[in-house]
Amino acid sequence: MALENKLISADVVEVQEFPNLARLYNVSGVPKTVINDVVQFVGSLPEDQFLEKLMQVGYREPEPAEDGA
Amino acid sequence: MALISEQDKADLKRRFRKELKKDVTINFFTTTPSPLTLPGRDCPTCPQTQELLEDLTSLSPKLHLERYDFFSQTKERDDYGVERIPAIVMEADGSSRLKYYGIPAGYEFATLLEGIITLSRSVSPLALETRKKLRKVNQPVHIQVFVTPS
Repeated sequence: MALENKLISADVVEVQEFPNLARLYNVSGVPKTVINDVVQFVGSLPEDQFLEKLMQVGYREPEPAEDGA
Repeated sequence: MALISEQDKADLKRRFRKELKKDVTINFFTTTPSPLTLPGRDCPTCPQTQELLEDLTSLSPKLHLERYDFFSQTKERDDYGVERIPAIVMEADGSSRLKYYGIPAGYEFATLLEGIITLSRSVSPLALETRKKLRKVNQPVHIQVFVTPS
């Protein structure tokens, strides 16, 4: 997914080596996916469902004025 | 002890010859061994990770290994957005990047290989419909996948 859009970055983290991070994100099972620290799920998802979760944080309707971010 | 068996090396060589297209640089962030143990600066899996990557990159002329010191080469660290070590940043065309934190052992070695081959071929394994939607992403998205090596 990270290859399709420069705004998307992807990290794989080996939890045993980074227990602090595992604690921070409450990793109780693997694979656990965290998107922008807000969307989280354990286990692997079919592509369309993964995409749906990604789009929850990855897409905002363009706002007419000021906020260009 | 070699981390990749001779048989696996031969298989990988063949696979790389067949499947790799573009060159891939493997940027490895580690720490320089010091006679002093500095608190917070130890990296027990760094030496083995380096050995694994040296072995791996020796199997194809299209694979290149760059080694950086996490604590002194701060510019590179920040450019690549590396937050901890050992870190592996796979890169093709100087832009497409995938990051792996930790030693890619066991099943995770296959994850690393897939990453390298996908980058090298720049062909996404995703469905066309998915790729279309991903092009609409207009907010920064950071995906972290936590795994164990077994």
